[in-house]
Amino acid sequence: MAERRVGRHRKKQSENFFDYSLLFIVLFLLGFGLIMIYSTSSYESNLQFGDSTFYLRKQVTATIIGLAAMIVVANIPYHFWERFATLGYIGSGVLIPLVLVPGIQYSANGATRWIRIGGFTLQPAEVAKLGMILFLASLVCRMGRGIRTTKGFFTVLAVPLPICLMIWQITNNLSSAIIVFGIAILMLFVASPEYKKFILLGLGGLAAVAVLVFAIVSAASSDSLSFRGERILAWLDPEAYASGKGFQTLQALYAIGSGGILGKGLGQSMQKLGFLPEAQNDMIFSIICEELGLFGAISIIIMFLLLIWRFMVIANNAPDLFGALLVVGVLGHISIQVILNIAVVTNTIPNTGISLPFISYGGSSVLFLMVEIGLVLSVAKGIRLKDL
Amino acid sequence: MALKSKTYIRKKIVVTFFICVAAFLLLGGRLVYLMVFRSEYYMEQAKELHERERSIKAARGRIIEATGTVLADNRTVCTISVIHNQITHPETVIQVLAKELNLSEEYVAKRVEKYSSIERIKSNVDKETGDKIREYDLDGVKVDEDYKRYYPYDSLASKVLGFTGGDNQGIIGLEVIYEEYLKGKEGTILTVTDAKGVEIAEAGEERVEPVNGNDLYVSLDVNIQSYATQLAYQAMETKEADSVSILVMNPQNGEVMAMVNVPEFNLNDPYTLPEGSTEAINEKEKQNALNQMWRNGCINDTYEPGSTFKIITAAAGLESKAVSVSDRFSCPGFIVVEDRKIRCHKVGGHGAEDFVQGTMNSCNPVFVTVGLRIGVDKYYDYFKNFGLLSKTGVDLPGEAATIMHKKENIGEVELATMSFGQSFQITPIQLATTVSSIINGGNRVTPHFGVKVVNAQGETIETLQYPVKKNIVSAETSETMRYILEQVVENGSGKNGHVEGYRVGGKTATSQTLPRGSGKYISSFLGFAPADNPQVLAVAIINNPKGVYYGGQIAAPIVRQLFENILPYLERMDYNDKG
Repeated sequence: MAERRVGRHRKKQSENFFDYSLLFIVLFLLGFGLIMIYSTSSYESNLQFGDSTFYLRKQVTATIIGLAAMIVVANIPYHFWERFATLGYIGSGVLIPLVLVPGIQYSANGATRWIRIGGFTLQPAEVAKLGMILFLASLVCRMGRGIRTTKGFFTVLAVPLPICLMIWQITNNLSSAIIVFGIAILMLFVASPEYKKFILLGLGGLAAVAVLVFAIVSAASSDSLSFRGERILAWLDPEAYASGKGFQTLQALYAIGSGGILGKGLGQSMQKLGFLPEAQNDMIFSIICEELGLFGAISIIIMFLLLIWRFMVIANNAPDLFGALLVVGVLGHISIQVILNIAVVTNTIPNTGISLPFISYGGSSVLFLMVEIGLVLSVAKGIRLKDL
Repeated sequence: MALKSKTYIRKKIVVTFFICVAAFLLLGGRLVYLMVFRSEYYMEQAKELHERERSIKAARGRIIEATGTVLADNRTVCTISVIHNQITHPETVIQVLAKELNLSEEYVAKRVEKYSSIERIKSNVDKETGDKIREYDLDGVKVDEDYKRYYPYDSLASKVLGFTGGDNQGIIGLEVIYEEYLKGKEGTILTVTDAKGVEIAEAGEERVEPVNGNDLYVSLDVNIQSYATQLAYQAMETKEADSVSILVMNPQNGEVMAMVNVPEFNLNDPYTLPEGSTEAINEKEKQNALNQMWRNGCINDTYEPGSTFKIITAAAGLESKAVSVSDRFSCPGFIVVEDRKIRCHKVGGHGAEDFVQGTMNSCNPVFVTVGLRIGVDKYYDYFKNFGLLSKTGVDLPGEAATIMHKKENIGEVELATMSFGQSFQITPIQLATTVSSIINGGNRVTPHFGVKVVNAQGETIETLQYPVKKNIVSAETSETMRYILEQVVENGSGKNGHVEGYRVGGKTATSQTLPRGSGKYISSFLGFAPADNPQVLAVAIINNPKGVYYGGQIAAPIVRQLFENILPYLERMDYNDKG
């Protein structure tokens, strides 16, 4: 639709494409996210800080900075960033251990995943996601036909591993590690002509997960269960762990279930009144379900699908492989996060902290997402209209 | 390098997109499952989580006696509690509550400062004090009204009425038997709260109004009960007796007009043992002592009825034609049954006498002879037929059963002793009921208190019915018995029961308690009036009197005094026109 509209005004405008549809979808999601952050956080933040707009104001600030960053990045030709690819990879590898350094480390909700320099808080895992997209896109381009070899395949597979391990072990953030690795796999999948290896990889992964779950369930009778082991059990039967690991999941399910088809109406959630802890963060989707119902939830899913569809269109028409892979990386990042977030909230997979892109509360998350959107817009600008 | 040349990449990007579409479809399906098919379940669970239920107590039904006086009522009391989150001026709250409730400031402060959704400071506070605290209008202080059972006459008919426990449930007496009618249904206030228990004002509250209990109308008469109580205390004191019971009932329909068991206890303070009882006893002993104090002797305890039981032997004898009024007997002061010599209370013997005279003299050999004439089989059958083997079915808890020989163990000696009321045990209510049935024309009535149940709006919702077993003796036998028993009072051993201007029938008894030879006696008198058409029957039982212990001398005057007062009163009440 955007293409057609642009097409009609071809004479007046430049020969290059600008994806207004993508921009509109992103702005819609951001605006909707701010409304939901206010709705979910106002009651609790009023009790806690005496100011119902506490979280909203912080998020608005982050969103404005993010929009500015997006505009800047969108106007810089994306090839500019290629030279920083290696620096990004090494940089994220250096940033992650900094969360262990006293003085600049920063904790929230019992997890030390941030660094704080001069009042500015940064989550190195977010940097790593962007860094990984940039580095892998550049690496695959440089490898050329080498990607078709088994050596090339495993090289690309091996590149994210050290970063993922660091994120997992140092910041104790398995979900971000999974996302970074997932982005890498997806980029590799697109870059490589292979199918068989990926199907095998997928089946192997599934089998490993199945074995792990089976092992944990059979170990449940004995003691010595780790933190994550109990999470698996709580996933299988949240009501049996209602006061422990299953608490948040169960509260989210109460919220989702009580939404029904049309929801209770915007602002009418009960679960946000302290029952569902930190409702404005990872669990915000369950409050969307409670307030706006199945109708609202499906609408949001459709918005994300449209977003991913735009990414596909841009990637498929990108002027070169580097641009396409950048977009694929961003597509991978956002789609994995959305899918995992909704899966966690609906207790489809075990509970792990993953935020919903553009909607969940979180400053560095939204900032880096906007930078990624800026990159995609920049790639889109490289598309010449006659190529469409 | 142009992307176009690598078509597989475009294909793969499309594949990636569709993988995402598939994942979204799966999640969408999951959402449909959760939000459509599981919606009701989770909604219910969430509602339970969000709602706080506060109960509103229902007022317990009153117990009202025959003249309309309330014997068991409710008093409004208050429960004072604080809600931590809503308190704005903790110091004021502590100060006011400590002052008004007579509590130490430390005690109140500890509760006010405790972080909990609601903390009770004091319950059972007078309504007056509660209103006063409410007037301060302090944030976070809640005054909830509540009902507490209240007995205006303190100890009157204590063992009949019974009392209620902490949840307003009946513990003993009528309060237990009529629990279902009296208790009502608690109401609830459902409020929606946040996770900390703070009520969400906009959500409003859902109120389920309590249903107050129904009033129970009983046949007790507060005037008769009061006077009988007075007489019983008097007798207990003058005779230094252990206890005195007086039972007054309508022999025509079984309605109990008074049931006194002194010493009574204070219903408004049922857990305090009487003064002079041993202190520092353990919990179990205290509970036993309390149970003892709460016992209703007329119903919960059995005794050997002694000579009053001759009424039953006489009725059986007349009914079975084993004896007639004009039969002649001779009493030498004893009678030999098998190898036993059974003495008459008159050592020298009553000499020649007819059956009526034998009854007037309460002559043991006469009744032994009658008993033996009836025979074991028939006597046992009458015993059973009169209802003596089963409980009376009185509407009070814990009625004791008759303690009786097994039929196969009854020999001549046992039969002889049973004939004059020994070697088995029945309750006073059993005696009164059986005699009522014999003199009322032969209808075995069910003794009872409950008359009708009336709801809070004043509508009678149930008139209580009690079974009547007809013709346990013939009308003729009944009439003869009334004649004989009137003679007992007019000219015989029961003459102390005579009331000037009224025709009274009755029978005395003096029974020795087991073990024999302990020197302990139970003196009793059973009287009824008018003798030709009995409308009221009274039994007085004095347990272990000191000094003179003959029923005719100490128990009969109690009934006489009672009748002297209540017969004119009952006439005025038009009681005699009934039946």
